[in-house]
Amino acid sequence: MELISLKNISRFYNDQKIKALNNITQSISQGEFVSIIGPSGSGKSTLLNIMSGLDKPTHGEVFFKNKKIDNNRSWTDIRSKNIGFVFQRFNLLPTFTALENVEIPMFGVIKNSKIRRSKATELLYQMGLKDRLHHFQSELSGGEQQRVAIARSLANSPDMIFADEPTGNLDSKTSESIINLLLDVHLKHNRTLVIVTHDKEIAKISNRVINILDGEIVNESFQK
Amino acid sequence: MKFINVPFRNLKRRPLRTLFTIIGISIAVSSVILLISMSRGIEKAWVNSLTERNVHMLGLGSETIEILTSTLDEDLKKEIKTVQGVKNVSGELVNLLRLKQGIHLIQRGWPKNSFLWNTVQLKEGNLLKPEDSDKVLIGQTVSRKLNIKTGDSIIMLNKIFIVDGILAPAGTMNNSVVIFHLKTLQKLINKNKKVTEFHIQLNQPDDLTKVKEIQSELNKTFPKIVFIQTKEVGEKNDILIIFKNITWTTSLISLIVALFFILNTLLMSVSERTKEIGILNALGWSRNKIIIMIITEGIIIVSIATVLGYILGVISLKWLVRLPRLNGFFEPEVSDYMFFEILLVTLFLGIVGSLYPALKAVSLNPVDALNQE
Ligand SMILES: Nc1ncnc2c1ncn2[C@@H]1O[C@H](COP(=O)(O)OP(=O)(O)OP(=O)(O)O)[C@@H](O)[C@H]1O
Ligand SMILES: [Mg+2]
Repeated sequence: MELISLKNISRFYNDQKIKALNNITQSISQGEFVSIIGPSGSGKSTLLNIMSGLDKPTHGEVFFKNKKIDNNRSWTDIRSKNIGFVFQRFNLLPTFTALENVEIPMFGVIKNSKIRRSKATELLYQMGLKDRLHHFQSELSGGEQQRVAIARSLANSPDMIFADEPTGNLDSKTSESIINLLLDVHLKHNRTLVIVTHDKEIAKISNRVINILDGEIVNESFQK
Repeated sequence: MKFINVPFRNLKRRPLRTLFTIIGISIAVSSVILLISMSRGIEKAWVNSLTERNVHMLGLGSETIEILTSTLDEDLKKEIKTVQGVKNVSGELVNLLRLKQGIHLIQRGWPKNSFLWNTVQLKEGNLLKPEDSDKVLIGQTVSRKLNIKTGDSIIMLNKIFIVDGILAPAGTMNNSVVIFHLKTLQKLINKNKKVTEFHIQLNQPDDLTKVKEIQSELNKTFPKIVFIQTKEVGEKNDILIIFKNITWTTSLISLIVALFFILNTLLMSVSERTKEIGILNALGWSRNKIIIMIITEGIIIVSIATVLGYILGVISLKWLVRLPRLNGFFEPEVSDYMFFEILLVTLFLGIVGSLYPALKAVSLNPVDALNQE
């Protein structure tokens, strides 16, 4: 089943002078592991942001489960329940503990605060952060922060995880463990995983690699 | 974690700024409490002093602004008495006096046969006899402050008077009173044959339509006098009206200042949290949830500030009424009701003041917000 599909998507800046994305038609299916690669400034993040409704295309349409999505309300609902985000710079909320960061997306989805807490605790345990529940961002290493972020992305058991260069700010050893965690998350529940990356190794292990250059898809390869 | 913890946590990230904002607003709130309870207190003290004397209506010089400058002919009493529905009429001469000791008194002169004498309750001593032209009755506060009892003397306007009795405790104004025979006070302050006002008792004070009829009848018959129902005295007195207007204007200014405090604080807070608001958006928080979060921050600030301001207001009021110069003229009273009145206003301000910052927060482009440093 197609989860997200883009139809003739373009994203222009400065009155068409900058074409971050140019007429892209593409879709992501349930259970896929897709890598998006390409040089800096090629439009990778823009693509991911449009697939999650954070950014709006200049032209074209976006569908979620074959339904056209064109308003903010539907998008926040989809982001809340169906998409988990992992960022390059981790983006934990600095005034909240690891545990609270994982609870934040659950407001409005899980009504009971005790259930929120126990679910968040469980997710952090799964990420190997048993001893870091009550630590703040400033008290965590980069790798730990990213693991909290992965736990947070799983808060509402989404269908999809979107990760924009999740290892871009980490050393190679830590990167490996983060990728393994993401892979785990993908394999265990047949969750869709879309990763923007510069890392050839990550690209190698994904099902599909979308190669993008100057806002256009120049190559798409499938692998087992 | 409960949702309410989120706005609390946001306010705690800059504890001093939050504290100063709360202090600022609570000072505004306390000044409003102070002003309003003072203005209501003055009116209440006056109304009380009249109800304690079973007075239903008051007749004052129609062209006077300040009641003490009202002068009426004492003989008008007989004519007023003839109006139907009027049970009793008594003239009264009033004077305010500041003793050398710094104590303020209200001097009142009553005619010998006035019904007002019947309303007096004594703690000790005797009511004045008709021939007691050098004797007076004094209120509680006067007795306490000057430390004088029945039989002691009191000097007013260079004349010596003997205290013949002390009134039982009553409202603030009647506690600060010195009662004379009308003739004595007229002589003392050179107002021969004059009174300040007429006190009127009605046959049927509870029949409101009847009271209104008598009132307009009196006003028609005596164009030089304006007749006011006891409960209206505050609404009809120009000085009190001016005082009330000043009170309301000053209160309004205080509250507008408070509004800008909230607005400024939350606007700063929101602009330094741009990225976090972007993150919340990316995590699927709806616009409404973000708006509610920020408005709740405003509500938390004003609620704490109102409680603090109320306490501050009550304390400063207690201190203010002890000031010798103010003592005796008003009965400021802060009721729970007033707390809720103010709370209603400040909650409104809190919501209005946080609405703009909240709307500003959700109007950000989420990608730009996320890319902020
Ligand atoms: N707000 C903006 N205003 C103008 N141009 C923009 C804006 N955001 C992005 N762009 C341009 O759009 C193009 C695509 O940007 P995008 O961030 O998608 O690239 P990217 O592939 O993610 O790059 P990187 O690997 O460096 O993250 C770039 O040329 C960028 O300069
Ligand atoms: Mg990028």
